[in-house]
Amino acid sequence: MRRVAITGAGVVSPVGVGVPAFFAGLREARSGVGPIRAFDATGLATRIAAEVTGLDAAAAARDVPEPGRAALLRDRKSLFGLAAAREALADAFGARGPGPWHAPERVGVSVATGLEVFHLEDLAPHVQAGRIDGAALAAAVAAAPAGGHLQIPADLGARAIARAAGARALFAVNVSACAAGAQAIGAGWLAIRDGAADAVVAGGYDSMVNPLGVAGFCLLEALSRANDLGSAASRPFDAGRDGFVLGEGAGMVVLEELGAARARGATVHAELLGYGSTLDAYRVSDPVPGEAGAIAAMERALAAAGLAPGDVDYVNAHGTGTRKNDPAETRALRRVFGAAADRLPVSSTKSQIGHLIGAAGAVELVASIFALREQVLPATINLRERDPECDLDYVPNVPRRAAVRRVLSNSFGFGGQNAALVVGALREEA
Amino acid sequence: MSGAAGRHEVLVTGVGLHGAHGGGPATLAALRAGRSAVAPFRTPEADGFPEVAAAPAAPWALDDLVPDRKLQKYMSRAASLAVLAAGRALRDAGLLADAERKADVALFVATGLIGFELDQVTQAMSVSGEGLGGDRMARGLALCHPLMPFRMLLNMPLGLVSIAYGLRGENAILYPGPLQGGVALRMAFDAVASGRAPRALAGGSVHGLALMPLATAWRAGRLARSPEAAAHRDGAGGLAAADASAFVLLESRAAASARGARARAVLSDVRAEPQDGAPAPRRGPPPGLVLASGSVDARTDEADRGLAVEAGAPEAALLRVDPLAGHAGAAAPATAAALAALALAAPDGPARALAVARDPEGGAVLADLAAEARA
Repeated sequence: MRRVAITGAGVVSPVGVGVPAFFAGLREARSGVGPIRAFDATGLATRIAAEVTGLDAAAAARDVPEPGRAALLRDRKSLFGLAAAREALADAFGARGPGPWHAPERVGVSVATGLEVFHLEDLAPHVQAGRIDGAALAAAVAAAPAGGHLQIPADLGARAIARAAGARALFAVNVSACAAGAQAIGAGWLAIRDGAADAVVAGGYDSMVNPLGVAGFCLLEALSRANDLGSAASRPFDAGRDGFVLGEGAGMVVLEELGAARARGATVHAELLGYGSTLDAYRVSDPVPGEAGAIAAMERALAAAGLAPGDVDYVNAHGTGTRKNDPAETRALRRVFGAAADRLPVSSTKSQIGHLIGAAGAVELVASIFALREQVLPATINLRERDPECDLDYVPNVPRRAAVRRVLSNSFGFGGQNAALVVGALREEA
Repeated sequence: MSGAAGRHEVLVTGVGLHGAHGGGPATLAALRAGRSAVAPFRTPEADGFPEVAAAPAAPWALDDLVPDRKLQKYMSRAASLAVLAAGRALRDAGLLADAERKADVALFVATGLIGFELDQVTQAMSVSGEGLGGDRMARGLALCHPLMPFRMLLNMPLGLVSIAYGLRGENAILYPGPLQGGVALRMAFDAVASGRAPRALAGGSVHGLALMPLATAWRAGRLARSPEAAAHRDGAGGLAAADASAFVLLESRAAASARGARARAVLSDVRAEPQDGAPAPRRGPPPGLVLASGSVDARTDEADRGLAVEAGAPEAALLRVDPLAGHAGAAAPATAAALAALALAAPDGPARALAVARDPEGGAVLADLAAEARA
């Protein structure tokens, strides 16, 4: 069986752009949550989010030819994805990219993303009394740059990433919502393990911090309304939690067949050991009673990694901060880890960066690499009052030094998709 | 176990489809008879948007497959089509009532651009004014249906198929065009061939007639202005928009044999390649049928013909889906594969069939199917 190394990483997050800044944010237990600045959210029940600041959009879109460039500059999430992918590629291969070591036909891209961008301001001038003037809309669409008006397909960033990587093998764009980032990385892992590719840029990018995104989640009553708490609003596992806080950003890794990575003398950050995905098949917005889907996803990931539950040193939880998710995930962890769950550190980085939806699993995998590389567990910040139904060690408020060899990272989606990844320090054969 | 490097042989044991001609057998019969469902179309979502060629799905009802009316309310048109075609594939495979085996089914779905429930959005805009920002937004959004977000989320076709039928296996939903439909098919093929799953349901669903995706395709110059243009008979070319869904149930031979299931076809290969130009078919007996989708003009018509000839198929074996049934986008590979499986299972069917789907953004999908040995 071929083994899969992680030889590059890139992050755009609300606590820092670039892996060093993201790691510093985790080390300092900083929050990226604050009042929404991307648009005027005054009338909404939720007016806070974890937004990205400090990304040089023009630099991220460099080398992208028109007409794609104009569209890219109107799509924050695609810019995040491309910036993170460039960082991961440079980390893995330097300035020359994968070319010197891998033929394009052996390089793939497997990325996750969220909803398309709907530029309401492009439609608004053509709406009168609830009807759309189609002739005027058609004229406006025809006059606008291709691909950058009204609706921007969500795979725009994925295509830019594939061009940047020179990838001609697998090209997969996963839109499984909150589980998408982990699933995309899992698909990259399978592609390398099973021989379909030798290197894959895998991860996720997303931003739903826009009028329709925030308003939509408000309609679902999924978001925290603790606007006054600001940076303390994202409170996974806390008794006072009242929903998740939207985040935005991107996480990308370069996966590479271990033998090829070693042959070229690459630095191996970690080894991707296993992946499992399942469906609840229950209800659209509720976890299934008994948590069978989440349990099966974790068990499959561990089995694929050839590990027992006792081999895991830390769990990066899905940990959204909703009333239903956190106790359900806690019960699922207790079922998988048994008595060892009492000694198992579990934390939610969503307390710091919010819920990045399609990018969540990918950025959280990079947070798991942080735990392995720095031997430090990221904290669950804003955890003040214990919820009796959430009774694990959540690494409250302060990062903790620990011996970390293997990490399980969970992602569970709205609609019932579950995904788990297992990542570990590179082990040498006996 | 058989095949290369100990991989399992993969059978197609169920097909489900719904499009402009209705279900799978009706669609195959219409294509063979040269009967077109493509007609001039004006979107009802806007006044005066240009006329295009399109093939709206025939009317359908889900009640016999999904009696739960409440669950149906969560479904967008694309999700409803997905649930319909997926249910038909499960029924065709004899699994619809088999809760235990369904739980093992892996599920890989491809979907297209969303329509954004424009009736809701424009209603909100009429209250809140331009930009839908600021204080007025809450007033506008208060008018929206609380289920609106569920109908906009891209993962819902996957989640709703799983919920409707109790599928709990490995899964993914891909987006947005034929190439990703091919990736879904390939993932399902690999899941079964590698032994990770005994059976997998793969397919796609699109609502290409919603104003938003229609305007995006129209701006890109991809839409045919008339049925004649969609048939590439007037030199203008382009695709006929459609809303459609198709699924195939893939199963290892061992899993199918264990429950006494019959095979409609053997799926020997699936390739989804992002570069331009269709993948070259593997060597083998000449295909008696080549189902092609995604050709936009005379040049790509010729490329399809070249692929068929290269594979040894007679000229008459090439059957184009889009000019008669519309372009199914993310559902195109599963549509072609499902139709190929139906043709192969017929008593007088060919021994081998190819399903080809070109992606307008670049890339192509090739599925290679063979008839199950006849007694």
